[in-house]
Amino acid sequence: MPEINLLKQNTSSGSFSDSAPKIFAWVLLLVLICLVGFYVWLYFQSKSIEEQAKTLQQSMANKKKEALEMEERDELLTRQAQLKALTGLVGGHVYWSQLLPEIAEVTLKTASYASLTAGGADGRISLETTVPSLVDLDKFMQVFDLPQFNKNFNDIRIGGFNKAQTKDGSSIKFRVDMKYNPQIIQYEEK
Amino acid sequence: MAINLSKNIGTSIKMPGVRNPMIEIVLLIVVSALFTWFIILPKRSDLALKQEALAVIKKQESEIAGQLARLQELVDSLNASEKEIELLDQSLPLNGRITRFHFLIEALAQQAGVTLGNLNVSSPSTGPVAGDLAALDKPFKVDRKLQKLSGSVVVIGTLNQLKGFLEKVETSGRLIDITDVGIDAGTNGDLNLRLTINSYYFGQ
Repeated sequence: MPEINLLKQNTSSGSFSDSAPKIFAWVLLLVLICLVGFYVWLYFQSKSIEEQAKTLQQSMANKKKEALEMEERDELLTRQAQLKALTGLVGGHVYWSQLLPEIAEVTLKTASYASLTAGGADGRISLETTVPSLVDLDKFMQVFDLPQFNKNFNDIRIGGFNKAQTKDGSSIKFRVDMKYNPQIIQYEEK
Repeated sequence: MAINLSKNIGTSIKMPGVRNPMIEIVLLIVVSALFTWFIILPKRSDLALKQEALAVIKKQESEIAGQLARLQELVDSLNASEKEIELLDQSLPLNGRITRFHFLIEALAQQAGVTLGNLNVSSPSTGPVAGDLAALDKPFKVDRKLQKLSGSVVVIGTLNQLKGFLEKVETSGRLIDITDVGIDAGTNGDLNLRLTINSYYFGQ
């Protein structure tokens, strides 16, 4: 009996060691099949992506063509450029009519202007002015030393000083050259 | 004897050579490794690249679709803004005909009650001012840019009239920039207002 048992044990151990490599081989074969399956999936996925890319590129080309062939596109671009140009111009638009009341504000009642010239890049005004006397000329200049008056007009220069005698009396003629505040000719919302 | 021999030969050739699992295992491992290394991995990286490219294309397509939708919105807005376009054309006309500018200044002088002493306007543009077939056929197809009309105006009137004229020029529907102002005494107690002006159009 013990001999028989020993023989049985030997037999079963031998059959397991025989079948284990076979099982392992089957597993490996299964892995290989899975790898092939994965490759097939990759292949079709790649094809699908190529198709999608092709479709999207076609769609993009169609949309570009549609945009370019849109009837109103040229008008739209022209209007945009026109509006842009106008916006730039409006920003630099000035209102000289706002300067006249400001000059009147700083002018003595006894003074009168024969001519006014304004403009240019330096932002200066030139006025041909007449006052009855030197005292008035002095007062005329003193006005611009006061802060409430010199905020808009400063750097006053007197030139072409001339005392004229007429039958009504004497008068002083001179040219005033001054710098104005550019903000007074800018647009102000009323 | 002959039969036994052939049986023995058959047994000895058949089993160990072909069905040896160890050889099968080694072969399968080698094949799997080679297949993975030389076929699957390159294909996978190729697929990853294609996926990245597809993402970029999708983004571009979405941007173009957005731009097209925006363009359509703008076109709709343009079609619904006739009044604003009229004002835009008044401020910055597409046509630079000098006669129209003269008419405008004359009208403004008349409204302000001043006498138009002198009006001199010129345009540096050498483009056609009339009979331009291409522009007549497709007015928005031609290449346009900001053009300037420059000139001077002299008007005669009282100080209030001159101020009124100045205001009308400044607030005119057509954009007119005054670059220089000059006021001096005229005859009969009137004053002369001299303006150096620039006006603009969006033409060829």
